[in-house]
Amino acid sequence: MAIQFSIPENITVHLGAPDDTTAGNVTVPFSQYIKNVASSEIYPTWPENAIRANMYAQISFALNRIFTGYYRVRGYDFDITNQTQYDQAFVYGRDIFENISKIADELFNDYIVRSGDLTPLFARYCNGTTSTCPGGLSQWGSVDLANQGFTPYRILKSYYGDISIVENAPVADLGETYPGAPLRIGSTGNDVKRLQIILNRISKNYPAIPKIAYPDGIFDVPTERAVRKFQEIFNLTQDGVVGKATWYKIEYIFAGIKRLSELDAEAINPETVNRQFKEVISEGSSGTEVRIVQYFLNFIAEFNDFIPRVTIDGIYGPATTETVRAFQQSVGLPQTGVVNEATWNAIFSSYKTKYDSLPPEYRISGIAPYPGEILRLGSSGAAVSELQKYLSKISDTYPSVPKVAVSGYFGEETQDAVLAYEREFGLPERGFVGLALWQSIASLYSDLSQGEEKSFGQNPGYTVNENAE
Amino acid sequence: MNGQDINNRTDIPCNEGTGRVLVQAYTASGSLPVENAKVTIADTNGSVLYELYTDNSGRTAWAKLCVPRAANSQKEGRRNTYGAFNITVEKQGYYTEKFLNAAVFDGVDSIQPAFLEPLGENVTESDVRPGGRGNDSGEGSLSDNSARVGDALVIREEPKPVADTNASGQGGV
Repeated sequence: MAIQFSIPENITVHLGAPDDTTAGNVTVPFSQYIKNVASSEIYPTWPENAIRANMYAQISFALNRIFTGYYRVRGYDFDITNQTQYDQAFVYGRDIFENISKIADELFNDYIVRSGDLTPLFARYCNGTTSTCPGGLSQWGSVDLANQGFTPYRILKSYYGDISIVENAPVADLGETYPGAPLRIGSTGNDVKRLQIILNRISKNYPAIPKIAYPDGIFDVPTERAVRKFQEIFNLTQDGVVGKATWYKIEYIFAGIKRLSELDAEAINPETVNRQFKEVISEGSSGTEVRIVQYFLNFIAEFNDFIPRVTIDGIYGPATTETVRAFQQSVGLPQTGVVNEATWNAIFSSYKTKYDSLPPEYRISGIAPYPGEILRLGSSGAAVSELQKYLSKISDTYPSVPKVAVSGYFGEETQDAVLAYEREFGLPERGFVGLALWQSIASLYSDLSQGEEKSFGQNPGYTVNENAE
Repeated sequence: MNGQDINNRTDIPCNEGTGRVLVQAYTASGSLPVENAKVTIADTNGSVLYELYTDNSGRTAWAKLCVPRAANSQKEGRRNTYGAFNITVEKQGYYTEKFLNAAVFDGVDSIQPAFLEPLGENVTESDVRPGGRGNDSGEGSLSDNSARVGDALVIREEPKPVADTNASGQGGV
């Protein structure tokens, strides 16, 4: 199987010329970037085939910058700029056109290649009037061709020559890959069950989405209703069918909700952390203080596109330096990349205000962190009780996992339940619970229990009386 | 309860085209909608056309607006291709967001996303939000082309005190 280029989850855009160090960088999801570029470069009133052709070019251009590492290999800390003399227009925070948005959600993982090549095409383009580019696409020219009945592919071929379009490329780090065929009324299986659990979890944060009372892997009417409402809220075609665009949007929203609740599960309550500055830390440092800073910055990053996420590993490397620098720029501090007292105080303050801004019900994920030791046959204690509680809940939705009593003692029954869980989810069957398995079980428990919580007035997903809609 | 439309003007005389705009307010990168944010839509002269509130999905109702006809954007060199509006999104506890020159086209729905950030500690009325949040709309040969729709600006500032009580009693954030 040929190695295929993956669509990145996010792209980092420099809001200025490459050497303009006063300009900030934003890191946004790739499809969001494309929606913005298309809304900034072309008119939404153009014929659809012209819009699509231009968007293929915009997508390919950006992917080429990423694939070749054009800016990164030159030492810049971004993927692309928003300056049209270097790259393509991107106006952070602008309004997005709904028709362009829908096309972007469909096309974001399709791109142009030279026939036989793997690299996304460096698809140059220009307006075609005040600027022309031989070998590149003419924006106004594409309007004329579309009006003459050209398809998007034919428009692109006429400008770029011998090209193909790669469709449905994998998307890096984003949940499960789209199964390839849409899920709709009548579909059944584990994909459907997972979808139902995820929609229920999303509906805790977006209570206008009705609950799916029985997430049993059968795509029924309540499931379709939930899908339709999700589509309405997230500006997708409201057809009740989970095709590629809806699938990836669900994965994207769920991933964000999970990240926030996982950060929350590890939550360092600002009230308990000593606000007092301890010592300067910088690249090369490691340890608990670094972990705390990384954790705070990651939490802050969920609320601010100007701050890239960083792995919380306690090691202060170049990525942490970049994130600290981005934070310093966002609050008007000197961009040293070093956490001195002023920077620590600003980080703590920013974390605290964001933590405090979350409604209390979003501050609990309802799960405990891994107890720090492997749970196996013969183990006992509070952590075992917790594990048994999680497995019991999971067995309600996944009957292949047997019910287990919450006794606090890890006996044969508990081991059987663990093995059944591993079997159900295609994990190696070992029958004991280390860090990774704990996190997997706890995460599913969290999705199920949080997904069941109903807001006041939320549609519970089952008929209340004969005359209910 | 949600999306109360005050001054919802469906009686604006319009002999051109019509487009619509909706605001979607959220925080935490879309993980959480922001309900009951006050959304003001004004023309570029400052006349308020709509005052709306976001629902529990963070969305306002669709606001219909009078804008230049679609025919104006079908050929290069035409002026007056879209309607520009200034949109303000505010809620207690968050920085106010202002979106200037939001573009609305004839026959097209626009979605204005409003990513709200919680206020900093000890922030007062006179504090300007610090840091590099500016948006350089950029110049250059390509950007001068008549297909460029990129003049929107985003400004962030402290919220003004809530003078009226049109919000339906939601406390805090």
